[in-house]
Amino acid sequence: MEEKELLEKSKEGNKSALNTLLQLNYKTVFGFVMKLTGNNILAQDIVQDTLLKAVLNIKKFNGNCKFSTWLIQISLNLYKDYIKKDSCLEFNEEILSNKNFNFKDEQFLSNLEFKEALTELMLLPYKQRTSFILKHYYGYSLEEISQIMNCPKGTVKSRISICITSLKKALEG
Amino acid sequence: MKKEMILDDKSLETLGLIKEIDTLSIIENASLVNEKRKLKFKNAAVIMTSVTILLLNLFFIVLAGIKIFLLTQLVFSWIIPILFTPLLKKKSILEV
Repeated sequence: MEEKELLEKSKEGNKSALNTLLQLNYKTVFGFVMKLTGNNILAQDIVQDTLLKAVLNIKKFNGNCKFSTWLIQISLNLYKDYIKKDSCLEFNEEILSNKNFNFKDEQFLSNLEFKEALTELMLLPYKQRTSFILKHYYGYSLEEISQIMNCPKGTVKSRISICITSLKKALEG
Repeated sequence: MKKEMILDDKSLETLGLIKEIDTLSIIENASLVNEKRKLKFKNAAVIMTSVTILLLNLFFIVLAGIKIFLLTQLVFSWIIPILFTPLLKKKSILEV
């Protein structure tokens, strides 16, 4: 079944269609929030809140973008609220401690690489980081990112270029 | 940028960082939240109506005096219900 069909059925109150729709999309949101927060536990909380909000407001979704894009938009707003409530949520070293990530022994190398990459990403300011993640990992266009982040296209472009320059420096150094 | 690819969704999944989420229970929770919202709205409506009626009654007492107020209360809460209840009962019997 296609996304549009699932959406229509979900809006009519079909729980199984809604469940399928969420199952198809939640991993994208989880990945996005994981990269955004750098914290596995916080990411899980935000994703659950996002899904709950999406279910409650499914009738308000007009279908002018992908369902996953809408979910990402909700999760971004929720993350903003979390930051407002607790400013310590922005990057700190504790976030990357092993408490938040349960790796197996054989994943030691991946664990190291993962932490390095995440640290570099988390050192970027939140707005630059979000633009970069959306562009680099999810292939959104500048226009789409500007819609998601509610800011002009030029701002997104400059944020991404600044972000790439600083990441290049970090990776070379 | 190769190093950054470890943060790709597929890599995160293989690292076990993207956990399973029980979406069905979220949907059930959402319906509970909706019911609670409706109940809150109903409660607020009842409270608002009660307060408005109380204020109107007080206003009427001040305006018309206690005797007329008691008389209208008697008419509305006893005489009108006594007169109209049999009619309502008949109607309901006919409907059955």
